[in-house]
Amino acid sequence: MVIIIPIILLEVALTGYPILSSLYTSLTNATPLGAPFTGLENYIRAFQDPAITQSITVSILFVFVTVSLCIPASLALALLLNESFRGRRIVRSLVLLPWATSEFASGVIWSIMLNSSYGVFNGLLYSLNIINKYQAWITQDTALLVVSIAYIWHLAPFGAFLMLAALENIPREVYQQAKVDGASAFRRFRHITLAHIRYVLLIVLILVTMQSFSSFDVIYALTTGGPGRATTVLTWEAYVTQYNQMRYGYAAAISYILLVIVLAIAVIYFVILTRRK
Amino acid sequence: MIGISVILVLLWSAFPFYWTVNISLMQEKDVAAIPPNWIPPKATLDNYAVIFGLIKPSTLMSGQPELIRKGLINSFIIGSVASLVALVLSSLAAYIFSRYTFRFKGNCLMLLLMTRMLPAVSIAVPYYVIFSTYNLVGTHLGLIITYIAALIPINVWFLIGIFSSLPIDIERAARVDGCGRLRTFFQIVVRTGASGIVATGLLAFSTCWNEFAFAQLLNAGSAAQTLQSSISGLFTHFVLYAICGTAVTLSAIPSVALAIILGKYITQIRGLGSMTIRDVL
Repeated sequence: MVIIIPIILLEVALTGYPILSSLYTSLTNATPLGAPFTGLENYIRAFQDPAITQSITVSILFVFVTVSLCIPASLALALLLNESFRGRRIVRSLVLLPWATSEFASGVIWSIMLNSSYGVFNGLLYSLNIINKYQAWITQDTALLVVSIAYIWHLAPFGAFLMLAALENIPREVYQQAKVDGASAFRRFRHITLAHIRYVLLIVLILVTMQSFSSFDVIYALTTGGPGRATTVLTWEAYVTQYNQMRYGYAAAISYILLVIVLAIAVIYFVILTRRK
Repeated sequence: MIGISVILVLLWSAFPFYWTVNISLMQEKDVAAIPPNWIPPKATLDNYAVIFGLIKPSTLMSGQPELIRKGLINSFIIGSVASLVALVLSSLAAYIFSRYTFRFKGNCLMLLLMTRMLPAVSIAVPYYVIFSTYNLVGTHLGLIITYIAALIPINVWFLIGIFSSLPIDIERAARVDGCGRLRTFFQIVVRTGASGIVATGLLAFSTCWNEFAFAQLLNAGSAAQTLQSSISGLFTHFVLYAICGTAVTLSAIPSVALAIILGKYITQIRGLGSMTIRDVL
């Protein structure tokens, strides 16, 4: 008993104190020059600030694209890894590789590959005569999609292995029985596979949503919020406000708005976790 | 059908790594070739040698190899210390969580897990402000403290799973023979659960090694800069892609080791997918 309390307290202190302190800072107009108390002015200003509202929109868009790409990707990976084939163990380790790499390094790797002057992606498509000159793949219209793809390259294996765990629990006999009864592949998938992994699917959905709202590394690596403001999500906005503009109070308010959003999703997650019998 | 899918999946997952290693073995001028060089026309380990200080860097590189070297050392020091301390604290806590019940156990666990789910930026921003008061910005200690706090929840989570699966009879026998609680822990539980503890420790080290947000926001540009920060520092307006590829390859080595080791422990992690709070309570 005596051992646990200090550890829990340490953990809560190291996480809780910054959050409370940040709350206080968000109620001031803190800059390197001082921290005059201003109450809710930062928050009121934030919701009227077009930059902030745009960041929130971009964040939501980014989350939407990421989740739409990630869930099918994870599911596809999980379904494939569930089949038995030669060399499955090696493939499983290789599939885990993007997850084991850091999010930032993933962004760097993709940024090198997509380089507009001599990236290998351009080279490949050029050699196959699919394009006739090297393109810039990160433009104002495509940046969000590109960052999302690099992000799910890193993220998908995690969800895939969670789903794989659930898939492996489905006994083969159920499929065989359904086949004998004449069910088509699609019906088997819908009623057996999806039904068994519905819970894990929901968990992965919520985890990916929370992760993509918090994503920072990939954006830093690939686009640093640009081109223009195309990938300026809320996390990036908070970073720029803190480190470039030195408006600590405003940055704290922005990061608090972000915190509340992610916390809301986390609460939903916990409610679902504890409801399940 | 499966064969094609497997090949596609392999290409998708492994091609970026192949390309990064490829350019790390090239000279800088070969990286920019059009069409691209699929294998290095003149394979060389010079990029690695430059980073490790075995060859003098060209003037173009302007301090980048030192930056990467500093980053490697700092990441190693910070990661090792943080994961070791976190491991000790987490295994004690996890042992108690798994073997004893007490009133607020469920709440404690949920609180612990909640802290892990908050966005890094939201916490890094106040950390910067607090650390500047204590002169911890840009130091090894500051980042180590940050990482310990970040590692404890996930370590406790994993270790509870590992300890719960150890047979309790050995511990009971030791208690009957008069072993105190701590002694039971150190002499028996740690010995039998050693492989799980080591795996959790490796995962913890890897998390620190790969971490970017806190490392960049707290330590960038200082003497305690980590490898990930150093890599971000490579992308100035004049980028040397061969060096970048080399730095990324070096940073990926713990990841590769982890992927191989994790493959063996997939059964432990599998349980996480279907584990609920009820299972742990």
